[in-house]
Amino acid sequence: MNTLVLLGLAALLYAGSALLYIWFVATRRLVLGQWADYPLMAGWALQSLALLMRWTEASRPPVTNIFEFIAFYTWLLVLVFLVVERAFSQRVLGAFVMPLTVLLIGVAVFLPKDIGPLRPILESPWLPIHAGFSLVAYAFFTMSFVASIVFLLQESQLKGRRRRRVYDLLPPLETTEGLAYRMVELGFPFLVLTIVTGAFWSQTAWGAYWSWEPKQTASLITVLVYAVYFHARVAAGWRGRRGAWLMVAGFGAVLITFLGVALLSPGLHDFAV
Amino acid sequence: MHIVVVGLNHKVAPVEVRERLSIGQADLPEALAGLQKHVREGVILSTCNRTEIYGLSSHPGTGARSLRAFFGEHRDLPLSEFDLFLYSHHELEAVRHLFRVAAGLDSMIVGEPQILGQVRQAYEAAETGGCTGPVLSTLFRQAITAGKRVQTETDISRHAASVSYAAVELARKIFGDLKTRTALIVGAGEMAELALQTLVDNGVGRVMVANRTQQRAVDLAAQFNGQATDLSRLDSVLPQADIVISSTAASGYVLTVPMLRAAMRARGHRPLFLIDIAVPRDIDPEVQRQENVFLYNVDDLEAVCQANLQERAKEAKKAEAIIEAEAAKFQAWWSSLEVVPTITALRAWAEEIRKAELSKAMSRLHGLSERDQNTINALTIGIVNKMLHTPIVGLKNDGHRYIEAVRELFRLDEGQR
Repeated sequence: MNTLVLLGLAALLYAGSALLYIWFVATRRLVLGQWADYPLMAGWALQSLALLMRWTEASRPPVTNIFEFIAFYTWLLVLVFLVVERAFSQRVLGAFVMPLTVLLIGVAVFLPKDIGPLRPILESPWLPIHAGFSLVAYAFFTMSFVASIVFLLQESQLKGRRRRRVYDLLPPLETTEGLAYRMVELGFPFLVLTIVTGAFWSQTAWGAYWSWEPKQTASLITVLVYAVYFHARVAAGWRGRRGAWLMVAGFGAVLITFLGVALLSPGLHDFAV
Repeated sequence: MHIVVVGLNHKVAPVEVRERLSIGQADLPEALAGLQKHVREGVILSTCNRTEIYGLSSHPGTGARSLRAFFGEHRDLPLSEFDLFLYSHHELEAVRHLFRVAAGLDSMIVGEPQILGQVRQAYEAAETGGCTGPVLSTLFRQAITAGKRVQTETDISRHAASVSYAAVELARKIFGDLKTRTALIVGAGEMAELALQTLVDNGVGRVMVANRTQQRAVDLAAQFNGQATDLSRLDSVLPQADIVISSTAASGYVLTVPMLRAAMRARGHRPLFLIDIAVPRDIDPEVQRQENVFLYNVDDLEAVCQANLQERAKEAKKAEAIIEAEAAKFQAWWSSLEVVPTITALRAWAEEIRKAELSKAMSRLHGLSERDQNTINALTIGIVNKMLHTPIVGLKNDGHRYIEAVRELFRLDEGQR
């Protein structure tokens, strides 16, 4: 029973859950949406086990390479979804979140997973704190992205007075918008904490709080986008389509920050030794 | 024993004819009492869209005739005046018809749920009036079960088929729970007030009424326990409303783009649902361009209903399948009722003949040993059993096809045994 096997099993269970959610949306039979919870929770339990195993194997929190990042991030995402599903009684979002999760784990499986030595600089207590905060923020922002997409679908149907069966299952506009906003509200402080802890770590490791390194810059842009969103929502009443698109843009910035930078331009955040 | 239904509905008779033949709640006991003279068991179903009489009679043809006569008797009308509007169904067709009616498949708006309750009430009234018996009781109970199955297993009643309900459906899609929402009606009018009433019935918390005439506003507000306001103050109340129904006689726009822009700003751009019932339109269509403003006029709501009705038609197919299954169940029960006594009667008839012929023959045969006598007895029993075997199996398997014929051919109903 090694980490990869557990993770694979979890992914399979998630895939089962994703199928049930999608079937639920297609047929509008509530039982399907309810059953989808079981493989979901079972998969999450397995993934928790996998992460714990990895932690003990490597004797450090699983945040040291992209594989571990994705494994941990998807774990958080599923957790956030489970809570949101309970709190807002919205199962439809599962049809979006679960396939996404399965896809991400699928990608992660092909990434290098060796428990190699870390660059000495990364052997720091700052690592789990800084990385942990960022992953929590990403999980919340992903949720807000999903909710915004669902909002945009529903809003365009209501504005355009189109009628398609699948829209009937989508939650009311106010609920989705409220959910998306709440997710950003929760994710934003974690993003700020990520940047702040990163700055302090940078100071102790390299003697400078800020060096305009690609990832730092990208995170700053992300913060700015979401800050603009907060302001626009409160001051200019961007509670509809524009606000939703802004949240989508924010998530785009998150993606660039996380993936684009790591894949395209190495810098401080390069994990390789 | 034959199940028969005679009646009229909105599909075959205009409202003038239907209203003359309908039997109101107050007249029902008397009608049920009169019905018992015509049929062994009976149930009267009378709603605004149909009046049907279900009966259990001893003879097929006369059953329908006497029910038609009953219609006339009860209303003191010559049969010839309305006979052409009446339809009749027998046996399995009657069963299917009742099941379809109970499921809402025969209603003006397919899938309407009220008819199920009305069928239940009709049955209960007949039960109270002592008019029902085992057969119609089972029939109606099964019809109600079939109706419930259709309701729960298909989406046939799920979506709004009327403009007012379409409005509620849309409001729910925008706001979710309507308890904390405010509806504002500008102007007045039957459709607008109906829509408002439906919204209130479905949970809208607060109602405001704006009208050019102060008195009209106050009256309407009193009806809905709401707040009346003058049309000139529309600007100030608009931000408080989440749902606005507009139906004035004004020739121009009552709600303009600048008004709405100001109102949205004042309400923090929270979503606003506008329903424009007026012709010519009260609300400038350009307001739709604004974010979180959703404008629907009557045509739009009608289109929603049309789309829903198409869905219902699709669901109706599923419903028909359920009805067939339930009708078959009833049919099986019904057949079993008659089969057993018929088989018993057939056997009894054959046995009588066998005994008679055997004793005649035995009296002419002399000097037979006991063994020989038994052999002859066994012979007669064997012949009778073999001859009856196939017909009896046929009756057991396909009773409803043969019971009539068997009872007639063998004259089983003559001289009760």
